[in-house]
Amino acid sequence: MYANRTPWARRALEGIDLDLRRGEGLVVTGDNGSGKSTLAWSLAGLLVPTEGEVLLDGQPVVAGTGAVGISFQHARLQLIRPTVLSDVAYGADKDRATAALRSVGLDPVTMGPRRVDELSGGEQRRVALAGLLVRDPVLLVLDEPYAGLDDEARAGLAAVLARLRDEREMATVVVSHDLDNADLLGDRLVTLEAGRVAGEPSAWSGT
Amino acid sequence: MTPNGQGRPTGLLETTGEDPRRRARNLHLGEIHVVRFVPGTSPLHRMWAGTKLVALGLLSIALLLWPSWKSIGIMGALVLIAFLAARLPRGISPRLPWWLGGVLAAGAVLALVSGGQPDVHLGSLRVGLGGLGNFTRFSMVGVDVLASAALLGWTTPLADLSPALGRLLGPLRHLRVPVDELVGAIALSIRCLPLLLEEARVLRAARRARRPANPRSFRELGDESVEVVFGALANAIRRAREIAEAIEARGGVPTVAPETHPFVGIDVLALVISAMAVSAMAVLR
Repeated sequence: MYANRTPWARRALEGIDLDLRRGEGLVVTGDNGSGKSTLAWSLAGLLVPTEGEVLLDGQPVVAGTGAVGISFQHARLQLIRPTVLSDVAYGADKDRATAALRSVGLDPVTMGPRRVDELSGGEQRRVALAGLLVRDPVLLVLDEPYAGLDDEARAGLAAVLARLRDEREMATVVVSHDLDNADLLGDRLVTLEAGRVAGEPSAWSGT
Repeated sequence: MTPNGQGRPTGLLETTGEDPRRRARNLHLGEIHVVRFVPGTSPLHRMWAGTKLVALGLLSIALLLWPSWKSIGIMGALVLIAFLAARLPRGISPRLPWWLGGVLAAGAVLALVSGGQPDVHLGSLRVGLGGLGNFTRFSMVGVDVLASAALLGWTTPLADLSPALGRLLGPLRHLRVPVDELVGAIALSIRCLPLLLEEARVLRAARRARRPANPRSFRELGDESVEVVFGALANAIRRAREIAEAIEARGGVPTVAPETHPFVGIDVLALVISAMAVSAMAVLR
């Protein structure tokens, strides 16, 4: 329930029953207001559902442990420090930050000292992703990762996510209303309508 | 997709739609409902937004000029009567953050330490309650002003405020005051408020999600607070620049819709009551 026990209370999500395995990719789509972002925040432990549970390895998911990384629609908002390397190293050491930058396809030597405000939308998205990877999450949740990216940046980001799933066995949940290149983002597709899973969930290849 | 509920629990991540054990739990990260309109048909809802702005302005200024306990009582009684007249549900009251109680308690202790008349004797110990009295009084002034502002927000759609301001400030055009630009800027600020609140919510969430697991010192907590505040400011400035560029591209200052709301009996009554309350505050100070 959104804003429970207030005059603005409304059911944001209802009857969401999903499971995800290591290395698996899930794409969640739906119209504006269908509950996609609420689901993303819930999966990351940033919202605790008033009914039901989100379990990670059998335990209720808790934000801030590093086990789940979430990337928001506006990547700039989650870049906390002024330069790329200092931002990625937030909460981790420099070596891990350097490795994380490499894993998202950015050169730490040239990109590390750059100011985050000077980066393109695609670069900001990758730096934000590197900032999540330094903590070795087992699940990555990406809310509208294609927002503001051109075709090239989208393809690059999709390739990075596919590689992370393969190499690190990291599960990914991509929440997006934009399904361009989305077959690269996950193996399964769920469509939300007014907070509920619409129809039968289907394999990506069958849609 | 493999239908869920078959062979669970085997996955890394699972969501379940129902769990009665957690039914009572409710967390909604930083939702701010003070400036959200609650639809209704009460006299306060029907009142012109300009009347509410004038009444709120007059009463707040009077309270700040004469912040006596009597003034606080008059303002508090008016807010309570208006709240009941607006027929607002009880669940509307904002849930205050836990740290606010701590801040107020710390302020009260500091005020008590500062002493001041009158003194109270506890055995051989003399305690001055003047500072604590002033702290409580000014805290109550704040509560009165905030409660009346919240009442305005709950009973007035944000979109009604700008046209009302345009009509109220209209006479200043004769003095060459740039009323349209002023009202346009205020309208934009009001329109952008929900956007900024949402961005502040994301900033907080992003920090919470990336926060290091190890305990932080007070200094680190302080640094973190400064970074959040400046992050919010930087985003607000960036957003303002984008909006300014969009306005320029569309040919200049946006026009505010003309005010069409009628000025009726309830408005006259509200202004008369406000004037009487201000007079009472001035006389009883």
